[in-house]
Amino acid sequence: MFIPGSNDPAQLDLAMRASLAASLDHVYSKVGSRLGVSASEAESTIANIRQHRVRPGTFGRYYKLVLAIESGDFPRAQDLSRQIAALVQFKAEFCVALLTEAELGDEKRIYTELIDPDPADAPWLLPPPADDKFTEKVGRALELIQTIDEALADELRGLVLEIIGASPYHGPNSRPFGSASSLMLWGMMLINLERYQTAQDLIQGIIHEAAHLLLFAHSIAEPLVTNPISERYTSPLRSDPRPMDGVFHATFVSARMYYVTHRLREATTVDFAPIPVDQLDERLAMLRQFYFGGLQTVQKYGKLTPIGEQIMEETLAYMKAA
Amino acid sequence: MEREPTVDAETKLDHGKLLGFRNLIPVSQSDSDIRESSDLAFNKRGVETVA
Repeated sequence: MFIPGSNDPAQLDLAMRASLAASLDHVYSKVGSRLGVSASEAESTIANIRQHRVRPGTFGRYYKLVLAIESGDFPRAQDLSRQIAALVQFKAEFCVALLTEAELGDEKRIYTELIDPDPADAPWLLPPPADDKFTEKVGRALELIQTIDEALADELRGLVLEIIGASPYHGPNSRPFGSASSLMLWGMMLINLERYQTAQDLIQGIIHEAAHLLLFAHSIAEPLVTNPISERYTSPLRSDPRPMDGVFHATFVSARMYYVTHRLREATTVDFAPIPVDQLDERLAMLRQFYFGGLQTVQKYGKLTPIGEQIMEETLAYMKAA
Repeated sequence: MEREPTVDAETKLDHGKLLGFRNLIPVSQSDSDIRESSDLAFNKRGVETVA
């Protein structure tokens, strides 16, 4: 699955939606009456999810729904269930937007709550100031990816529905970030507008988060690792120690970022040089170091599942040959 | 002796049938820990050391 083109992009999204539909079917069969959802309403919601793409907030509300049910908050669960039914009536289309109420409506709150569930006195994300160039820059980044690797661009179309620009918080106790994604918000990626200011920069951010989404798609049935979430290890892409699942992700992401940088390097000619060659070479050396650093931790401490083993073997095969 | 089934038992969700939750490795079974695990396992925040 490491090399773009080896994954069926439409199938990845279809599998995720099928799993969401089956999960909601289970929820409705158990507590549908307490949610005020009739059999025909449940059937209609599930059918919509199976038939067409749905917004990331559909997944987000599902996770909130399960937590509300398990905490006994049925008024909240009923509200979330109604929101899911309303949201899935419309086929979701690709979009680029800013993390503002003006552009996202209620999705802004859902995305913020799920990505940053405990902001305390220092929010992690902020609505950015108006930026009429963000959509244009993302479009240019996607065009560049299409130019250097059609299979990778095709994969992105299957994985990514919404690219959302956000600003970081700069006050006391601020927590730096470059980009973010969540299994709870399938299809959405958040990009720090200040970190990624050009189309060339955005390629890195988009490929980084798309790599996470790809791993989410391949871990629907089983996790990638079974290490306890309480254990922490050094991660190649983070300054803070992370659970093994995070180290696995970061190692894979490093390899995917190496891949796209290598493809940019291969495509560079006298007439096509979106990023100077010396910068690409420097980045390739850095990403290679990150990858093999992460791999060492995964190989030493990781308790990989069969799918985790397969993914790491394919990734290593590419990195050894590259 | 068999226990009387309760409403909670009848309506208890099976995490094995729920997207995401089947992959959770909770620190413990409390609701707050499920939230902690959810955040750690589901959210990926990128590029803090990569320029």
